Amino acid sequence: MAENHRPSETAINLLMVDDEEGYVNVLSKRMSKRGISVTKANSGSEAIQILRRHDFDAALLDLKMEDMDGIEVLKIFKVMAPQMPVIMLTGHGSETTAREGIQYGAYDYLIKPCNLEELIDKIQAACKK
Amino acid sequence: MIAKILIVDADRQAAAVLMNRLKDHEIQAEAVFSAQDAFIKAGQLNYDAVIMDLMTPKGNEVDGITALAILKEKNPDLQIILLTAHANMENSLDAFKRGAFDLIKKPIDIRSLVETIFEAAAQKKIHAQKRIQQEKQARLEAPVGEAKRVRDLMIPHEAYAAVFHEATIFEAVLSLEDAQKNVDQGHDQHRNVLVLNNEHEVVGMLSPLDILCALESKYDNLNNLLKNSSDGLGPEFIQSMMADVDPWRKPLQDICKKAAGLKILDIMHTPKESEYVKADDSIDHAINQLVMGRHQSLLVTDAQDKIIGVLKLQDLFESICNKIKACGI
Repeated sequence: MAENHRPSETAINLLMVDDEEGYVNVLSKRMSKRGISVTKANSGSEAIQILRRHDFDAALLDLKMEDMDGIEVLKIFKVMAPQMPVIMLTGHGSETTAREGIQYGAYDYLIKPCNLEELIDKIQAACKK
Repeated sequence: MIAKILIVDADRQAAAVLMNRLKDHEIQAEAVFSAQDAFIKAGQLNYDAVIMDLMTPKGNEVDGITALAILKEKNPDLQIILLTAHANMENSLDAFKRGAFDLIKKPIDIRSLVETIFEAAAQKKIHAQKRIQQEKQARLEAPVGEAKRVRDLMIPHEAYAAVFHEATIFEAVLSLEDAQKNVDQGHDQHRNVLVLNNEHEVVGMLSPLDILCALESKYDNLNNLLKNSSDGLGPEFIQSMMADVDPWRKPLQDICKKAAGLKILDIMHTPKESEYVKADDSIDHAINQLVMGRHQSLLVTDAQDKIIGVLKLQDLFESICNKIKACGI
């Protein structure tokens, strides 16, 4: 049974899956100040390992990573944690893949580089559902 | 890249100290000492970020959080960094809800603040680009005939990559590279960059072609020759001229050494009179100017002749295409 990893009553617990370390660091710094506690995963396989041990309120998943295809990671997330909303991040040319992700159960997608406010709004909206 | 920021702090000494420290990190800062002045200044100049001490304003002025909300309302793209001596989760969340980019606890760690400023500047650009794209989408989807003036189709200058006129060729190349990345990502952005003076006013444009021409001075001689010829020159003649002049013969190493001595002000494209159009001019007038001058874009000016945007041939053509499609012919 996965451990419930909830640092505070009101904080959103987010799993961020992206191999672009600089980008992840900037986002997680911004988010943690806004009450979103971020657990970082550098790869799809690392994210799956983490999800085995912890629950999250939502996941942010970059579709273009080196080690695993983003859609494959999404499908695995949907089996391991069906109630966890997954927001995909994709590049401008890969919207078709993102729309495919919606069919596999992703909550929504955003195109990088994305507006921080928009991203946070989407995460908060996903967690309210 | 140089970032330009506004410091809002009732403590003049603190503001002066911060300005000096930021200068060492290539951040150009100006300071105001009241919220009211901040509202005016932020509206006049295109700052990358505002750093505001939450203890300012004082007295009868609005409180810091309200000042933040007002600034954001006037300038939705502006990123505001708040400084406070007492940051707790509650007032932090309130600040973020009102639109703060970050809340930094005093005493300030300057390196961390510098990092935050550059992140804020990047976020501002993203925000502006998204807003412009949404506005453009709304314009294109608007009923036919609504886009009648140049300002309806122009891209505000904030959405363009820009470089300061005192910047080096190296910085210009980085800026152009960024602009190209946006095109590659399909953001429908622009390969050229605007050149700004210290007051953030547009004074020219820089394209990849301008850099190439500047790196090989022989093009200057060729251009003069072509300009001074009274008749058109045939392709064979031009080819033979090229063979004689033989540009780009020297190894790139030499040319790059030359680049170190070039200033943006000297190589940028200074638009001719025919490349300007007023924001309130009609679309018909703009089409005429683009066609007659064979321009790819026009610089758009307001009533005070200040450059406020760029009208691209591509966007104008897209608008016309939509009108034609709506005819159903």
